[in-house]
Amino acid sequence: MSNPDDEDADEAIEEAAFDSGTVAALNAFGDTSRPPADRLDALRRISLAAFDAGRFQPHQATFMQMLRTAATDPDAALCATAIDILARYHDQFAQGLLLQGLQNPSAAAVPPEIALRLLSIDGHSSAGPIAQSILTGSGNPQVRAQAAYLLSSDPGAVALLTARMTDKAEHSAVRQASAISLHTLNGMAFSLAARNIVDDASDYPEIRATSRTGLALLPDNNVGGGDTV
Amino acid sequence: VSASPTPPGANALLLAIGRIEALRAAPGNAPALVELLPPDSPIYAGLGRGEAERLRGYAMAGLEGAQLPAHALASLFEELETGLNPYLVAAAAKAVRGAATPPGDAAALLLRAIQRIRRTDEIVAFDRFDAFVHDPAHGPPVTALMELMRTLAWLGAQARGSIEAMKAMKAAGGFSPAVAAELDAAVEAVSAAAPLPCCAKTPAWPAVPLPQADLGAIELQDQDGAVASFAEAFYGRPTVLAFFYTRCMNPEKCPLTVAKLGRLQRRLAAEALEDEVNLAAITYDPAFDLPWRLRRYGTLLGLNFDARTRLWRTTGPFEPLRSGLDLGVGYGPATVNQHRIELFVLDEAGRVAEAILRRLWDEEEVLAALRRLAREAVGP
Repeated sequence: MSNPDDEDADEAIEEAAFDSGTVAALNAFGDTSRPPADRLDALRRISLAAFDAGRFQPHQATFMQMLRTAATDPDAALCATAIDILARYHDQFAQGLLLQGLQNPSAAAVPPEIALRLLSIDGHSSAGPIAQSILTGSGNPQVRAQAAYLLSSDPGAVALLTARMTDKAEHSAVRQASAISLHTLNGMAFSLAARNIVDDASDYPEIRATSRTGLALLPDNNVGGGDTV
Repeated sequence: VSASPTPPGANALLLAIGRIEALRAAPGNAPALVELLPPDSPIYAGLGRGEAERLRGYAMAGLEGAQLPAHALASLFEELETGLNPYLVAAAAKAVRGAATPPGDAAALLLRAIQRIRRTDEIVAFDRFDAFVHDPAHGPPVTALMELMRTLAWLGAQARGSIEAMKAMKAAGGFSPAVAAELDAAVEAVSAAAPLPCCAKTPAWPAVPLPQADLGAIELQDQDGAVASFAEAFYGRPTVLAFFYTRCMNPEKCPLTVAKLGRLQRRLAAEALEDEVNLAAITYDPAFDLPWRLRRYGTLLGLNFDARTRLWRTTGPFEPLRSGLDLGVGYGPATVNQHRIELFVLDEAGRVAEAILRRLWDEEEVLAALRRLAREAVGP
């Protein structure tokens, strides 16, 4: 049987090693004179350490601050990685950068499909209106598809998603993304659109398969959606 | 402080920032800033949750050093009791320092807030709305936890009842050196503060008038798709009515509210009163919270649905219910952006008999309200 004093000592040593290793990684990450590859490697080590949330908490505030600084770093990979991590924390600074990039693509830190994917992590963000405008206006189907995925949290987008899902002239990826989002948002609206697609032998096989699967996966008491507003 | 990434075209946000900056700049504007504390203030309408919370925190922080009216403390205490956003919680702690006298109830709430946000602590600055990145020219960085500990120190003798908890927190450690130093300073300040005179108490908050609108015609739909008017659903027996939405990310708010309704249901059953009272919660987010979501959510949180226990959504506009009960809920582009904790006890005619607003409640408290209601119905 081990001695409790030895266990305490081991824990203290482990704690100190965790702390000094984390501080060293934070210093490396924040050192702009280092090559970006070294800083990215340090960021990877910090991200691993952050999984141990209890031990990492004394460093959390510094880490968030360093990420916000790195989110505007001239190195594209470093910048994109920092924004990716911040977006997962629903960070307001990162969301602002992503929205700004969608409105002004020439200054964007990440491509629009990535920005939309990262913004969709937070269902309470203000990205809905711009996603709706991208879904109707972008010429890039991959970007439109990501906009459709983002709108799975926006009940105001039911009519738009229905229109994209049922438009035979729309790109298949956008129709499928719209179908998946509509399925999440409003089962009744999805069901009406999907049944028509399944019954239409002239429609494309991919969207018919998506519709058929979606109908099979609707909740048992899928009522509602026929509201007065 | 670096420039903000505020998206161009975000006019509503820019206008709101400008308005709050003007209020903060002029002395004597505390009453106007206090009007921005409720989450349903129109200034937050249409913003995402993060934007709305940051804006509200920015307004709150402007109250430090103001002569804070007593009724404003309720909004600040709600953030300290249940808030998750470190910026907003820190702003609430800062604003408490605007109270004319240190409030006695604040220390326990501050300690609770420290435990809740310690894993998400971040550097905060309130001199500008867009101060997201610390500028060393502005001095050493201050984190949200440091603001909370500064308010503990400011409370002085009013935090005496929490001194042992503060010392235990200090002994347990786990803070950065800067935060630990603020905790040391708080322990020292509270220990050294002159004892309060006998029986010193925080003045009671002014009572809020209970809403009394006629809601009977509002159409509702329950977790099974059954439709009923508000009158059909709730009139004829007392009702415990709470509000929630299934997308709420704060475990101290909506999930806890519905889980506690489940516990209340079991308490009522144990006293053979389950048929005497309606237990209900209505979603703030009816367009998203369709019946199947209500059923799944309630079931996961321990509700046993029956004729007297149901989750509801409005089938028409939510606004008549919001204005009729003066609900503290605001909306962004897709869903709720901020809301209060709200629970009402209705009498058998559907009138509001009691309201528990902005703070956590427990089943005993609601049972006591139901007993009071029963006594009043029987008469003297």
